[in-house]
Formats: sequence, C-alpha cells, structure tokens
Amino acid sequence: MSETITEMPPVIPAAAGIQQLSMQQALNRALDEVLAQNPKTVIFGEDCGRLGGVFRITDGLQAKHGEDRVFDTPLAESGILGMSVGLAMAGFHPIPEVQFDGFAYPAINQIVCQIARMNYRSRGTLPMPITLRVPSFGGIRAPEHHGESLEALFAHVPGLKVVSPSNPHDAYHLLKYAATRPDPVIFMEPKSRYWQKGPVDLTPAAADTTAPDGGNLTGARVAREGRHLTLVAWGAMVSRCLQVAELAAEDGIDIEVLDLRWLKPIDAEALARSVAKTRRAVVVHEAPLTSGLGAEVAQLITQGCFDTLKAPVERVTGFDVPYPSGDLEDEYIPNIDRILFGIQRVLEYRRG
Amino acid sequence: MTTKPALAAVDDDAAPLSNQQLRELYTLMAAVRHLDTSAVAWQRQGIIPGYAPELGQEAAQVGSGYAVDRSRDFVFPTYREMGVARAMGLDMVGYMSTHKATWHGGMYNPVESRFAPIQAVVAGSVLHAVGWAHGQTLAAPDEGTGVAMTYFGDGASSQGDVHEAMNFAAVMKAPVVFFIQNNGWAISVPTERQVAGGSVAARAAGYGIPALQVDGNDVVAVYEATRSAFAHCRNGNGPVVIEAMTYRRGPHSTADDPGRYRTLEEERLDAGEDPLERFKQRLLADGVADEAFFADAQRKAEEEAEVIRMGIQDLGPRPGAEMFNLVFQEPTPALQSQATAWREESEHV
Amino acid sequence: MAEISFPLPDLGEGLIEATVLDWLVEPGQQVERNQPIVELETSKSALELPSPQAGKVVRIHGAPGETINVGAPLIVFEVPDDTAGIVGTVPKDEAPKRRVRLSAVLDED
Repeated sequence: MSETITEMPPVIPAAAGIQQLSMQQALNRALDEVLAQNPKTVIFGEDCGRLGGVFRITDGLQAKHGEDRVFDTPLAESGILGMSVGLAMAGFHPIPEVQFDGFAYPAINQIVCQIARMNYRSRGTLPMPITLRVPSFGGIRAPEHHGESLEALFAHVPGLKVVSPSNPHDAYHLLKYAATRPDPVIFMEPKSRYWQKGPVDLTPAAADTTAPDGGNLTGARVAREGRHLTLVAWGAMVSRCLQVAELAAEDGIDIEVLDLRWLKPIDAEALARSVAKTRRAVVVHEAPLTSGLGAEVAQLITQGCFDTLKAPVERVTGFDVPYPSGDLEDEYIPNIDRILFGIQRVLEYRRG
Repeated sequence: MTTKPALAAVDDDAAPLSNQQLRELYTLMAAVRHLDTSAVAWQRQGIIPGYAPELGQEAAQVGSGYAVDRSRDFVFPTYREMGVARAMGLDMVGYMSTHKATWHGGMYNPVESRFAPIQAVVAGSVLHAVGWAHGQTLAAPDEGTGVAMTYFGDGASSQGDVHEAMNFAAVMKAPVVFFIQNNGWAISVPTERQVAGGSVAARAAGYGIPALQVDGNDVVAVYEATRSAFAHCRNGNGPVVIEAMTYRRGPHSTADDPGRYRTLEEERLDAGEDPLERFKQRLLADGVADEAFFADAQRKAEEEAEVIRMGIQDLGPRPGAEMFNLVFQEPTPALQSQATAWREESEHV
Repeated sequence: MAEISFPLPDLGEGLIEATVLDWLVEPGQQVERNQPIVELETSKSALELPSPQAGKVVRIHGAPGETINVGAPLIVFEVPDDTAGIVGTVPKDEAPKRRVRLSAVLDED
C-alpha cells in the first residue's frame, strides 16, 4: 500500500514564500491580507469577532483590524445576509460567515432573492461584492444541519458564483481572489479539511499578467494526472479521490483527478480536456444524488466528449436522505470502496 | 405601563413648515393622487399590466418622503411607495416602468435617486436598510450621518426579517427609520388578524427603540415625526420606529377585488378623512392657499401624469441582451454562451 | 496552538468562591485528564480537583491562601489548535482501506 495519501509530496522544498499551513491558517491569513488591502472590507457573523469564529478562521482579526472591521452580529442568518446587502449598497465589501452550511437555510431568502439579484434588479448600479463564507460538507461527526452540501442549490441560483477549495494553497488564493470580486461568491470551506497542513505558496500572482486571477484561479485544477479515467471532485472529496487513485494504480489503472474548484461557473473546458484524454469519468460528491451537481458535470462531459466516451459518466455521491448522524456518516459519504465500484462499472462497460 | 422611550433628539431647526412648504406638500399630494388614479386607469386601458395603488396613503408617503435629505439619506421602498418616490423627485417614468413590466426594479438610477430598487419581497429590504445604515456609522461615525428609511406595512411586520432588522439596528445603534404604513389591510387580511397586540409601534419597546405612532392621514404630523426621527438617528441615537396609521382606500392591486373581503360601508366607516381633502380644508382655514391654488395644483398634476403616460407608452422592451449582461459584473463563460445561443436562435431582429 | 481557560466551577450547590490550598501542577507541565491539579477549600469542604482535560499548563491562578470566585479563571491549558471548533471532531488522515479490486481489460484504441 502506498504511503502517499495526500496530494502533495511529503517533502517540501524550503523555497521562499512557501509555508506549511493548515487550511484554517491559510484562510485566516488570506482574510488578514484582504482586510489590510481593502479598507472597505468588513467581516462579520456569529462569533466571528472576539472568539475568532467557531473554527477560528477569523482568529485574531478583530484584535488586529478593530471592532469596526471584524464584528459579531446577533444570532440570525437572514439578518447577517440582509445586512450584507445594505453594506454592499453602501460601498463595502462584506465577508459574512454563516457558521455552518445548514444555517444558510434560514438566510436563503436574502441569498436568493436579494444578494443574487440586486445587481440585476438595479441594472448594474448596485453590485453585490459579497463573499459568503460557509463551512461546508460533512465528515466531522457534528450535529444535525452541520454537514450539508449546498453547492447545487447555490449553483442553481442566477447571480451567484460558487467555489470550494480542497487544500490550504487553493484556500488561500481562492479566498483572496473571491474576496476581491465585484460579484457575490459563495465560498464553501470543507470543514473536515481545516486542520491538515499543506504547502502554501504565498507569492502574489505575477503583476504583469492581464488576468485578474493571475491566470490560474478561475478554473479547475488537475490534482493528479492519469490516462485511464478522470475522477471529478471538489472540497473534501478531492483528497479521497487522490487516495483512490493511489489504490487504483496498484491495480494498473492510471487515474486523473480533476479538482473542479469552481462549482459555478464550472470549467467545462477542463472537463472536456481531461476526459477527452481518459475517455472515462466518475464524478464524486457528498451531496445527495438526485439533481446534484454531478448531473451537471456528467452532462458537460457528455456534451464535450460524447464521441470518445467509453462509458456513461458514473456518479458516486451521498444518498437522497437527510444527512445522517455521525455514526452513519461513513456510510453516507462516498468511501473508497464505493468510488472503486463506480470506477469498476465504468471500466467494465461495453457498448452494445 | 409606559415603556416607550422618548426620542433623544429633535431637529435643531424644527421650525414650523412655511406656507410655501405647506403648499408644496399639497402640490405633491395632488400630483400623487392624480398619478395613482391615472395608473389604475392605465391598467384598465391596457397601457400597463398591473399596479399597486396607494390611494389614501398620500399623506403618509409624501410627508415622510419630504423629510429625506437626498444628499445623504437613502430610502428602501416596497412596491407601494409611489408617493415617496414622487416626493423625493424621482424620474417617475423610470419609477412607473416597473408597473409597465419594463424592468423589475424600475428604470430609475437608485444610486442617484437615493431610492433603492423597487422591492417585491414583503419586508425584503428592511434588513438592507440596517446594513446600509451601519455602513454610514462605519464610514463617518462622528459626522451628521446619513439615515436609512425603510418602508413596510402591517402585513410585512409579520415577517421574521422585521424582527431581525429591528434587533440588529438596536444592537448596533444603526441610524434607521422603520417607517410602517399601517393601512389596515394586507390584501384581504385586516390588521386585527395580522398584528398581535394591534400595534407594530408597540413592539419597538421590546428592542428599546423609541417609537412614534402618528396620524398617517395628517401630512404635517407625518412630516414632523419623520423629521424628528431623522434628527434622532443623525445624532447617533440609533433607530426609530414610526407607525403611520392610515387606510388603503383602493384594492391591494389592480387584480384585487376588495368586495370579496370588505363592504363599501366598512370602507366608508374605516377609511376616515381623505388626507388630501383634509389638508385642503386646513390650508383654506389657515389662509395658506385659496381655490385658485388648488385648481392650479390639479392642473399641474394632470399635465404631469400626461407626460408620464406618454413616457411609459414610449418605453419599448429592453434589449434582450440585458437579461444576460446585467446578471454579473463579471459574466461567466456559461452565461455568455447562453447569450450567444439566444442571439442566434431567438433574437428577432 | 490554542489556549483553553478553565474557570472555577461551582463545587457545591450555589457556592460562590473557593480558596486555594495547594497547587499540584505548575506551568509548563503536561497533565492528563483526571490528573489532580489543585487542592481547594470551600465553605463546605476541602477537595481535590481533577483536570478537565489533557494539555500543557500555561498559567495557574491564585497562590495558596488566595480566594477565587466561581467563574473566574483557575487554570489555562495549551491545546493543539486542530480542534474542529465548538462541535465535531477532526477526521484523522488514515491510510486508506479497500475491499474492492479493479480489474479491466483496457483496449488502448
């Protein structure tokens, strides 16, 4: 069995600008820098201020940047998101936090009817540069409504963009990028990956690039190259798919792992590029199967690669059940065997 | 039990309204009355597909809108604040375009007008006012701050967002005027079946917010209450709740039939005095205006409505490309490709 | 690393304070859960407090003879910051386990 179960090499060159950080540290650092760079940035939510957030993502930011810039709100998600709309209208860049995925539900009205539409409703005169941080997905044996995967819900709403990092490096750069955009971005943080450390290259994007993201933050990312099949994943499922790829390699199957990162807009070109090469695809997500984002991914792959696809795109996902209690969590979240079964079904498929 | 906190400040130069201002208020109310009844007629004539009349609420809307300082304040309306819009000097063709089904938020510029896009979600923008107001505190905490005024009704007061907004505003001492027009009806449901306790203003005490319940059919009383509330907010004392007691004399919308839930006799008894006629009698009694002035105000109102009618009739449909172009500041490739497909397959040019 | 402060609990139905008799641990020391950390005397009894958690002692409050109010800091621990927050547990990165084997004839056309 392979010892390498993370996507990054275990030994990191001590290059300038590269540090070993957890995703929690990387996100904290990104927010710190965003606050320093844009005086109109404000961070707020439940327990974001003095406590530093229940996951400590905003740890120390209030002490450093002041209570006007980083503050606690009353315990009401609709209030937090509705207030964000007004702050954005007043020229601020709000970075609200919803404490857990499931608590975005009480704010859905403000997210869907207001944040997503105000730019449109106002004919572009009232942009909504709101970066909504949502600790997301399952895997930490938490109480009810603390393990939900809302990406399909958000991605379905016109006017929203959705992104989810899978490692500390991307978390740092994607958050800094999202928090400087003029449109609302739902930033889904995989809470089960907050504490694992990885190398983060803190070097800013080259100044001479014309792309606002330095040319590498708006699309998907090939997390591992392979020839026989593409595993498409995001958030915490990326590291699991990398584990699966290691195991598949023992069986002679060379798997490519595509970290989608942006769930809206989806990088359709990267999907087509990868699957045009491998001709087989399995999409993996924690959210329930039906109308999940996997269906969208499967359609985009089919659209782009139908001629050369060897098999229908498989989906390995959570089930169409309420997210279960911690004891059953491992039965719900796609595990290594279920992903391997999905891969096997694709490998065995024969036309006609 | 009297728990109602008093306003901590009133307007420093709270001089009585001059005769000139009183006449201006009447002119505005007359214009609003005529535009409102005209809009109902336009709906019957097929010029606009629908309209939400504010008949009977002219005093509440003009009196409050007249108190707004457009150099620093910002108003968050619902879909029944035509009188506020007119009092604030909005481009009324741009305002009425929402009822022409030209563009949901209206075609006026909300930033320049200091009047947020028309809001169809009941209580949808109440929290926006709190956020905007807190933004003023953050931006310039010590100067005479801009005040947010958010409009909503007795029906909207049932929404949870109103509670969240009042609580947030009070906790943060945000300069917000919560302006409730209690017009007796939320479509078919009367206030007594809508508002437990009978008064939205009474709820303010629970948040420690000072509240003023005013005769919403008395334009001067509404103006003075709003001006006092603005002064209170501007001086850093936090939010104020104003409940203007008025009456929705017309239907909820041009598609509504009040005869199904209230009788004409009930309307006659409950509506109280017509705010326009009442103000006219007061101005006459005080010698502030004469019949010639009222006739002139009516003539101006008719001319104005006619210009607005022609303006909205001239409004063509917006270019379909705006559907795609105005979703994001930075459009996505998927949306751009949908726009391309639409242009190729559907644009009838 | 993060610090977790442990406030003096009510040691007996409505007590408001306790007096430190003797500290059994000192700053810098690693302690285990349930390890005795301090001897206290209340108006009802003298007792020994078991540590509420494992961790490194950062600070102790109250010299012997001093009184501490219920709710005031008694001892501060340093703990790794890889805690999941107020709820949940951090999943361990374990070596992957599998039951399924892949078999395929890959026609490399």
